[in-house]
Amino acid sequence: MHEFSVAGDIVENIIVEAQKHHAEKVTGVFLEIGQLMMVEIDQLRFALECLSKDTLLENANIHMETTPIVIKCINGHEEEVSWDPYKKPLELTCPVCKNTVKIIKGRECIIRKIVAE
Amino acid sequence: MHVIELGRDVMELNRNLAEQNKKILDGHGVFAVDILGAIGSGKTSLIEILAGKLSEFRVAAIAGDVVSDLDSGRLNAAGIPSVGVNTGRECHLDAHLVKRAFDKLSLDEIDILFIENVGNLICPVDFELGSHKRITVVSVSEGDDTVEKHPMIFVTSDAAVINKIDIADAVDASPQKMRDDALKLNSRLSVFLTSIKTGEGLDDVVNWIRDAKENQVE
Repeated sequence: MHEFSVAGDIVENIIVEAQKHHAEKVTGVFLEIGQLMMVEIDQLRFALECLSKDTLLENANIHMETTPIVIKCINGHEEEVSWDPYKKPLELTCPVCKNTVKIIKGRECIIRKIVAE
Repeated sequence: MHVIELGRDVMELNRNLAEQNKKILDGHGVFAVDILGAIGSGKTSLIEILAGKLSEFRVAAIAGDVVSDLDSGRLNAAGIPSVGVNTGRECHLDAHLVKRAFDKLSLDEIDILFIENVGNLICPVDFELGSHKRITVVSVSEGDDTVEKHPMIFVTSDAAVINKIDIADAVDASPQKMRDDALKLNSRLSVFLTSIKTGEGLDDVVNWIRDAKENQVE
């Protein structure tokens, strides 16, 4: 349950950026959440709504997209894999050669863009 | 109305701070090991035991807790210089809190630093601290499906300590299943079956730390 601390960083970053652009209001926020981030999307949305209250982000439309995991094995195979924690356990092995992999992408929480007025 | 492109990863700030922490540790020749795991898994006890067995090194600890200085007090009483870090409402340590704790330690007088995280198998995963190795402690009393239910902490760890194996039968848990689950998630993981009560398996953990520290120096 660290959605609030992640949401706090998101709100803070957006406010600073919006102020830099002399925006009075932020109406849209586009986020990309890596599938391996240990945050629950609904809880993150709730946290963002709570923390946006009385800020220039209040009532902004929050668009969240989960982004895939990219792994690379010791033989250099780079693959995009998907994980649904509710359907199957996470198995991080190379789909080509079954070797050990490193996680290249999937642990990010990116503010892609904001819409400001 | 206008669109402001950001492309900013909010996790990057912590990651950058963690990198800075690692540089600070390397600058002082400190080898740091994260100790993660659930409440009551045996993290503090493990640090006490490891510090005793690694007596050729100067060992210190940072002990994270939501509130209270109980763990750092316990470690200090055991002769391990320790700093308590209270996270308040947060469920994990972050690189910033750890950096602040460095100021309260004499890093030049430390060879091995254990960083005990808040008891939690989920939240600490996303927050790197700047340590060199990550050990997750899981006890059989948490249930032998605990590993498969918390994949990410094992995916991001270097070693897993499956603890309290002396009571595995009593709690109807299979330490072997836990080990197999951990290796299925992360084949690079070093897995140790231990009992802090009987001492079983602990020398293997000690040797793993010695080897890892030696490799850091190289």
